[in-house]
Amino acid sequence: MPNEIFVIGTGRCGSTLISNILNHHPDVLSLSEFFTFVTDLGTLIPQAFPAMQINGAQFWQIVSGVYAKQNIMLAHDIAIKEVLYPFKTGVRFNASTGVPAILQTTLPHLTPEYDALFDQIHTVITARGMATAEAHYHALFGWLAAHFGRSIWVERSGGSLRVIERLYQHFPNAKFLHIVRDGRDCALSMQRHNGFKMVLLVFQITEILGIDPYESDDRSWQDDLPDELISFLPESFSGKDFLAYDVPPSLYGHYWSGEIMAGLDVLDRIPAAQQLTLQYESILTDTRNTIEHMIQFVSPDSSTNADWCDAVMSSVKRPTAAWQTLDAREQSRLNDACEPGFAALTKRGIRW
Amino acid sequence: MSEKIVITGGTGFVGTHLILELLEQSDAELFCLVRAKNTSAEQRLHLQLAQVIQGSDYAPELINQVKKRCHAIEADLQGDITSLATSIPSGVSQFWHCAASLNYEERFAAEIYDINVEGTRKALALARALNVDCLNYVSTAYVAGRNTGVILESPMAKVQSSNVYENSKVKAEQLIYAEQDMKFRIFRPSIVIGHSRTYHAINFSGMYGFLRRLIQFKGMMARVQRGYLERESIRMNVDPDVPINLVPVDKVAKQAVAIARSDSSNTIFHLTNRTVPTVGEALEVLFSTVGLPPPKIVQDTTQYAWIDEKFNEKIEFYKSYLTGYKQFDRSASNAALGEHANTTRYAVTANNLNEYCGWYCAQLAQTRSQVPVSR
Repeated sequence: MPNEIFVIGTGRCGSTLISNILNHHPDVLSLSEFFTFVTDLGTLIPQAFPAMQINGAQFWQIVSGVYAKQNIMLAHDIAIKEVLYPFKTGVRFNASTGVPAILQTTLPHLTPEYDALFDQIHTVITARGMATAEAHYHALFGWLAAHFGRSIWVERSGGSLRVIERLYQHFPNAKFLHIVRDGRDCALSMQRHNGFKMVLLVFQITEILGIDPYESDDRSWQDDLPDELISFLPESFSGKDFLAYDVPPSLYGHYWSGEIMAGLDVLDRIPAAQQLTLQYESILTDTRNTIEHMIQFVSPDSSTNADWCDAVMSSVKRPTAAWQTLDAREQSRLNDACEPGFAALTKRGIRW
Repeated sequence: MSEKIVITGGTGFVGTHLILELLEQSDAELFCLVRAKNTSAEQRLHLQLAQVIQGSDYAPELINQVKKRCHAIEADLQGDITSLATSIPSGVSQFWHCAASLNYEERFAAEIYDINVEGTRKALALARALNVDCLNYVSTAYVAGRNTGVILESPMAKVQSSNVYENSKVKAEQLIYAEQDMKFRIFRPSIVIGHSRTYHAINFSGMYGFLRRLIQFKGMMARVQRGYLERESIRMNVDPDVPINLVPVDKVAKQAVAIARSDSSNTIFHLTNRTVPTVGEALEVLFSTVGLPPPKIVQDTTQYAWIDEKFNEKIEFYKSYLTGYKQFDRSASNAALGEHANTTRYAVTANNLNEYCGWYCAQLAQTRSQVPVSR
């Protein structure tokens, strides 16, 4: 069976917990938030999967790029909480220099010697010749797994249902562990997460300007921007306005439904043996059985699964977001917004 | 010796058509106050006029008259223009002031007032310095603001404007009313749209701005959830049965020039349209053009979901054109135009509005071909 696994889900579905507990498994290399940052929060997905062959140096530019959106968030002290690189105190990279994508979370999640590892990868990757992006990704993840003496790699990025089409296209033999969580809780949690707020702001500005303002200087349609969005252009960005900008949970509810429906369309094309769907709530309420089920999917032949389960049981904690705390009107709006997503999941036998 | 005419805003939507009408309907020599941008003022003016000739139904040979009779004078209404009196030959009979800012967002308020109000003050000073016979000012029918019912062709005294743009045009008109020693005419077009035969337009505010915002909003929502707006109608609190006064740009230009050449002693003229769609009909066409179901009309905004609120915020500027019954009186215009006042050529209906919108969407699609994909 393949040793390539992607944990996929909507934003705030609880997949970070999966990354964290898998990181303790002796056979598993846990690659956390790799595609989150390489795609600059999911806004540069096509650029991360170029259609043509590229050389190692070009591929290194993709994985080590200092991307505009994630780094403006560091500069304005509104970084997403998944960033592990010490950007406030870092000597080599910091909020002023910008932090390369692979260093934001992925490498610090693996080792305290992340800067040295970054240099090692640089040497390995830039020495590579022309190849498809798929081949480069396989080489990178395979090298990392070998470097850490692991036989399986598991990549997990928040909100990765958005990229599942590309992942399946480039990794057709990979296994997909799909984590689903009550959309209303996901939505509430996304509302409190700066990364998803940034993404929604960029969606709006991109559609108005006709370009990604963080990737292009073209401001031909700037007069169309409403006053409230001017503060989120890179040249006039205000962290204070960012924090004050309010998006209700129901919009994230619509987003959750959209991600579920689009993601399930792709999952329907993936052979059943290559996918497993788990409900996040089951991990909380039936922890032992659920994580045993999960590790059997991830690493069916490992002799250390039982010990690993014992060790990570206590890591499973209840999250704080609970949609029932919203007022009645917003609860109603949120229910309506999540209804299409729930309906799509119900067709697959998943209910709350 | 031919008549001499001075024009501001000659590269604008109405201004270009006015110039072409003046070239067609008279043998006047035109002096156009134009900003130089990346090219010289003259090049910019001639290129813009050539584009309008090509996009409209003017004879292609009209470009020769442009080159012969249309002179650009580099000028910026936000700078000093009074001193230009010495660069313009004496004996100017008519002064057409068409230049305006069509922005409306609050962040542009200072610029809007600077161009629309102070610019008019400067235009008046220049017209006085040139000792012109008459100043023609292109205003808007929506100086009527939130007034409803029959809107007369008379000075706007007390009016509640819907936005800074409208307010700036009211203030500009008031500067003109105060002129004691100069004859003036104020032309008030309604919502100007493309050419009645070709649908060609060069300014994309007004109805086009609404359509563009609809496309932008649809794109944004497609990134949030593909197909959402195709399934769920946007709610709007508007008056579906009131008329929305859309007028083709060629009608505005032809009638303004004809009125200026008439012997009418009136001073204010509505350049509005007689046959127009209702708000409900127009919205159905606009939404259908971008592939969306018609909006759901609600009686009050408490029925809005957040997405409705967001959409309605984005098109707030247009709300004053979608609510409140306004019937624009055209007594002065019709009297001046006589038998030429009414023609079916300029009728805007639900049927042909589709063509105006389709033309613009095709143009817009070219400029939006590089919108980044979301997945």
